[in-house]
Amino acid sequence: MALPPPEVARQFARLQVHFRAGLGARQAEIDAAQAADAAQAQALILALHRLAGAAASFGFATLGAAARSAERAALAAPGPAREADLCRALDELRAALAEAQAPPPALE
Amino acid sequence: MSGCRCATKAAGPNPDSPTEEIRLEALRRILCVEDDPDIRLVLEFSLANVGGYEVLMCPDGVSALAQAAGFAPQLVLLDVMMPGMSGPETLQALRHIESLRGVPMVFLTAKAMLDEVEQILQYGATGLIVKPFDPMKLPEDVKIYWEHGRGLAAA
Repeated sequence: MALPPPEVARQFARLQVHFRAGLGARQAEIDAAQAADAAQAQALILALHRLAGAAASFGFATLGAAARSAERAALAAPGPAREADLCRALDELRAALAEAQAPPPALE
Repeated sequence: MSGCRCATKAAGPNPDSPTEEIRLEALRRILCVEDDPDIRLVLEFSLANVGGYEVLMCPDGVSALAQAAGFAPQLVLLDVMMPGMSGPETLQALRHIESLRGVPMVFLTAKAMLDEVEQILQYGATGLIVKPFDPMKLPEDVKIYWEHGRGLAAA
């Protein structure tokens, strides 16, 4: 049986709290994969892919878009252009992660 | 945000067909196969809490194969990229279960993989839903695939 709309909203808010709480670990995973050598390239792509596939479903559309951009940059052919694009995309992703992890404004 | 695509069109209704009753059967039970734990959470919230469906969540193809026959899903939702058994491999294995042969099976895939749609659908899926999906709209998208799938079964 479907829940009534107010309960749906409450349950979704709890899911968002859960997802937000896990963003620190996702950021650490991305940072570690970026800092590692080329063998970790697939690990970085996978971490970005997972974040891109999940974030917007939890209501974090900007974060999901930033992760998707970083994933595309990571998938590009190796070279100086890729490195520059990837660095830029990951900086934008970090900003989006910081914003997503900030506590939501308290309701008055 | 929710992308809902159908591979084929449903047959028109035939009120004289004995299978019309089957077509009118409501969707109740959905099997989901998804390895990402966060996506499993939001899938279950969407389909159970928003859609009111009975949902069996499986983290991989092996557990799905072990439980599918007993759960008797009316629709299956599968992630495409999974470690171990992939979504397509899981779908093909599920199709070998006699009772699931006519069940609509829908892939969940990331937007980045849309250029592989034709390849994905060749595995025998009814269609695909794009990730990220809107959890408030997913139950309706799933119902559309259910209705198309039942239309084909009645043809």
